[in-house]
Amino acid sequence: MKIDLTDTTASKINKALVQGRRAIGTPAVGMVLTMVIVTDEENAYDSIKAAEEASHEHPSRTLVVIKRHARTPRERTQSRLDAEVRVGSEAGTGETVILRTYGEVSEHADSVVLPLLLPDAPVVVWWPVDAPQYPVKDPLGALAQRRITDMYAVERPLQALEARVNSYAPGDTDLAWTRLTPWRSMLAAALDQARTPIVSAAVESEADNPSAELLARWLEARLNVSVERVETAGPVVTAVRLGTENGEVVIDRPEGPLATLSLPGQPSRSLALKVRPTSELIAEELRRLDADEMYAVALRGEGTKETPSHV
Amino acid sequence: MKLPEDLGRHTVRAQYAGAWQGGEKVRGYLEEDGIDPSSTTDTYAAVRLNVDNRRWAGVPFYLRTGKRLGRRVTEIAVVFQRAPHSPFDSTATEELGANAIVIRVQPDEGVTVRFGSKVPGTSMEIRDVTMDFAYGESFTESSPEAYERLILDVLLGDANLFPRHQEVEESWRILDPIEEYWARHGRPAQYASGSWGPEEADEMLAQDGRSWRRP
Repeated sequence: MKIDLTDTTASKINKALVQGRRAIGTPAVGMVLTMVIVTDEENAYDSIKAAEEASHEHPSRTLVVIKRHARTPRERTQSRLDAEVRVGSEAGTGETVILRTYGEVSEHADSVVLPLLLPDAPVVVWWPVDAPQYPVKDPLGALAQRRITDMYAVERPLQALEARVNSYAPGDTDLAWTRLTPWRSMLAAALDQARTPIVSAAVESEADNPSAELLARWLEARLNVSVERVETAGPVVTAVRLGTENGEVVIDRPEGPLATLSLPGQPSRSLALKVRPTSELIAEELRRLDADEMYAVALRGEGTKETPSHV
Repeated sequence: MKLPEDLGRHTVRAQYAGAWQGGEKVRGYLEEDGIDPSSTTDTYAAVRLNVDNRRWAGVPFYLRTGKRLGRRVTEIAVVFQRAPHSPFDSTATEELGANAIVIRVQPDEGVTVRFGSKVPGTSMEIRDVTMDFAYGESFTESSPEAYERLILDVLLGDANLFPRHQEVEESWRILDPIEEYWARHGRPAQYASGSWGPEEADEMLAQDGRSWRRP
């Protein structure tokens, strides 16, 4: 069910949500979090689709804030808020409200979002593109426990990475880091088997890949070795080599979803290591809503005394 | 009913200031038509009270009310003590909030029970979930408007739903000392329209190691 509201306010949207919920006969609110997507018209479709798929694992109210750019001075002076309320089968397992802001209200989108947040439930903000310099200081970012950015969606990922290092606050996370989770669990499992000290390390990836840089920093922080960054043709991260006294531990993924794990003195074997779609990354990010301490460690690239369960 | 000993620490009053509320620009209280710019009339109040008997010893009652807040809502929330969960390590229960029963008086009348539940799967993760009862949906009849029932009672001469004079007097006995304190000390704080109240109210709860829930 879809309800369109033109030139509206947050309280009218709240009424439309209750009305829509009653009309489809599911009055109870079983949603566990509010997801705020801040995007532009161009990226809205893909992000909403990803959020709807993720909502099958995490039933949520999705608030999509789309800032409309005025092209004439006359339009710029007019302030207007349009909303599209989707409930039921149109909106995955939760509710979706698409908010389009015109003119001055664009600068005050937080005033629209605040009354629409679910009571008590955690709030996650995701910027698929154009993340602010300081996510935690952004008016919308300040409402959230968890702030998701994506370094893959910027022109200069490695510069963005440095900006993230400087602006890090507990609760920040980045999809470039989420993409590494299978790599990190494979590497940790491989080292559990190898059980020898690591003396050298190398990460091979395409040029300017922020995930590779994060992976290298994570290895530096956790293994206390310097990590060589090797440039290859890609796609994304292609291999990690960890040198031990007995030989190399290698996870190699030249292309496709299949990787090869080689351990010294053991036959090499195949691993599934596919590049995951955005919806899976978002679903993974929403599984834990406390601060991602390991991301902070990887960003800074310094050693810490974390418990092994965090690896 | 027991008032806090230090009224300055455990009560807050405030006036709304001009800001953006729900997508509209609104004026502050002191800028409204016909309002004295030096008015000390409050549009927001938060107090902590205690019930002075054995059952409710050590349970603070926080009341807050105000105009131009985030949205129009009347709720009673019973927030329970955190469960110790000693079998689990602290990372496993880090996200566990305090369980609560929320009685929604208006709008969307109903009751919500909020509690921590383990996320399915092998890892020990806890997430807050809700059980929801919506009064308006459980019956095919819609309930009468709030004043419909009262007017009927007036016509019938039935005073059950009206406060008696003792109740009114008792209410003022509790509130008068606070009003007198406010008249003698300071000015109302300011809060942005559309927010959930002034920072002073957050600080009032923070000093008890608590925070207001988001309604």
